[in-house]
Amino acid sequence: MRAFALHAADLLQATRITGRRFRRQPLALPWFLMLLLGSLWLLLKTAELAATGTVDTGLALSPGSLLFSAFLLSLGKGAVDGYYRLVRHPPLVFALAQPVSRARLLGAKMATVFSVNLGFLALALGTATALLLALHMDVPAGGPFVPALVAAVIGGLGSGVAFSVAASLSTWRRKGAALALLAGFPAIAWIALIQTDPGLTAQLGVLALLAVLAPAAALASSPWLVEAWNAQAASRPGVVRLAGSYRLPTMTVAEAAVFTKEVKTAWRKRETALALATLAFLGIALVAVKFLMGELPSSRFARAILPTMTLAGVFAGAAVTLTVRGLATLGGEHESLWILRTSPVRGREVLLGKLAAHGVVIPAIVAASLPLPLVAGFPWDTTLLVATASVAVSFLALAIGVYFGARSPNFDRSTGGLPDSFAMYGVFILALIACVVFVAPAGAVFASDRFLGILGMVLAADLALLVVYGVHRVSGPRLDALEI
Amino acid sequence: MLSARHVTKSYGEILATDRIDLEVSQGEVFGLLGSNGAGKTTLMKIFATLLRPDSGTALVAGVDVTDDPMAVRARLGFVPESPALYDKLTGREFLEMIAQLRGVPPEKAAQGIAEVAALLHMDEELERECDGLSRGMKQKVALASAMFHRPPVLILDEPTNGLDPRFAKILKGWLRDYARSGHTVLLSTHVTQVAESLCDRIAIVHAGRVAAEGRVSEVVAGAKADTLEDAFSVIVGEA
Repeated sequence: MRAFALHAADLLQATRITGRRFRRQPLALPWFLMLLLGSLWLLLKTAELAATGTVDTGLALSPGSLLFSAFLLSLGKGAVDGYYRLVRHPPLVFALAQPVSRARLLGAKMATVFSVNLGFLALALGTATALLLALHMDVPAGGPFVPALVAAVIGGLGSGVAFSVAASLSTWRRKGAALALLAGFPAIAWIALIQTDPGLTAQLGVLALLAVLAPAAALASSPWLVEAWNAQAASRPGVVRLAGSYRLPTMTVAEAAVFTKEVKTAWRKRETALALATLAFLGIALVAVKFLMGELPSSRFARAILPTMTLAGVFAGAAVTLTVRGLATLGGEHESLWILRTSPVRGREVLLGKLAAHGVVIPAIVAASLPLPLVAGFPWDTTLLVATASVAVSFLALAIGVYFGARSPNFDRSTGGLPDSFAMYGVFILALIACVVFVAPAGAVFASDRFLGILGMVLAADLALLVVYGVHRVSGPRLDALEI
Repeated sequence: MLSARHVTKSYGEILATDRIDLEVSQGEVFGLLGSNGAGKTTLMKIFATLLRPDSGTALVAGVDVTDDPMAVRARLGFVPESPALYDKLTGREFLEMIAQLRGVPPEKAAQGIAEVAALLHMDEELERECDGLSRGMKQKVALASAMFHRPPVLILDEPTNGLDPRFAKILKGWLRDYARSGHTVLLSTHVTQVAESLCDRIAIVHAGRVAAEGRVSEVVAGAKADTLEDAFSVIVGEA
């Protein structure tokens, strides 16, 4: 009951934040629903095309691969939610000081993670069902698929929460040992859903087991919660790395000051290292998926699959590194915003320093787009096209994140300066649409005229940079106008 | 040097300041006293350009805070009530960043930082990330960020928060000397002893209005009380 009070307070706060957002921006709800409908339709249509074989896409989609994707996505979401709501949540000190066991406390926080994400899943499943019925789509999602999907999401979220505690322990050795123990969960999911593929009913059984074991493992990690929290959220003496100050050509002294502060902070908070690791993982994962797909048919669609897959991977990388950081551009300042707002420096100077610092990872994003083309033996012009498209995607992902981050910043320290899940979802989908709109025309031209296609992609990257500039012009005055 | 004329600010239905009039002269240490939520912080934030008044005029060194906030910021040093710093910068890096943002030449900044560091005894701590500093040390770094460039106006919200008595005394002495050398200090405090020992004049703010103003002795006499603490209770109770 005591732990339930914590969960209830979390839900009350989440409801109020979301409610306030919808009241302030009345168009946010219809916009969100429209994006949800659109993205679900796209997902269902892809599944229908792959399942019915109407078009030879070369995609080997099976219920098992879809369930494994859902498990992995949920694991990532559970890890991020667990990290920000639990292990890197400074106000948790008030809960830790109460006469409530650590296991109950962790259980209450995990219940919040489950409530929020399963609520979203219920909404998505309901909407997908309505779409299937209304549009008479032929998607093989009957029988035990839906219960298996729910079990995959629960198992993934539970594993994610456990991962967030394990990855936050105080030493690398302890982190490594705990993560090695937990690696069993994705391994079991991989074996059952991809490698052996024993049929949907058996997969449901395995996922149901994971849906029990993974949350239990998260609860079992509660004795290490305080260690993880102390390592991540509490004040501690830091080792100073990356000294000096940095200045790009044409930067003013004030812009360079903001740029230096952002680069040092990102480096010392290990955000840059995490981003680079994510991008490296992405590059390797793309190559791994290529090998799993085996030989592709020679149809036109199939030839486009690998470049499209590379760009999808690039978008994912740009979204989690640039869009997310862009969204927290102002909100991430939290209570420290008084420093910039009482200094004689204009919002545009601040924004320029921050944009430049965010952009430091763009070369790494472009680099992450190269392993698959190199391993798969893309022609040099296709590789160049993909690399140029990566630049365009990176600029757009950054611009859209910064635009929305400056438009309605969230100064809540517990979210890391990020907006609520509804807003994040909307921004990601919008960024995806923008990237497709910018990149697809040049890709289509490339199919018939390679030189012109590459020139078109360079133009797309230029235009994307222009969008970054426009966002800088528009968002700077928003910082000047902020009242805190 | 600081002037508020009929300054009104509300947050939704809550009236934070209600047509406040206030004048602070050059070379003066002026204290704002008041209960929690009285409107002190709102008034200070308006002077510091963090909030815009709904109506009325606020001037810093003759510059309207709404018309030219950049010019106002160039003339003041500000420390909020709970100053959050950049956790991952060292104290020195933080101060150097402030110097760059304010366009202070590096040599002058280094000299100013050295002086303030010596005053507040924080040489060693300046090399540590702010994340690992104690509350009092963070307060010292925040105070240093407002002091080292020697602005014409200092606006300090509860400046002795988190400081031990020794450093609170050092700070009060420095602020008094700073005002004597022609600068202006506006501060808020809950501690009546701070107001008595430091401020040339005070204003007691209650429910968004100035309920009493003048020298400490005048305010005490006006309330027919023996001490400022008693006067405060009388004035806030009556207002």
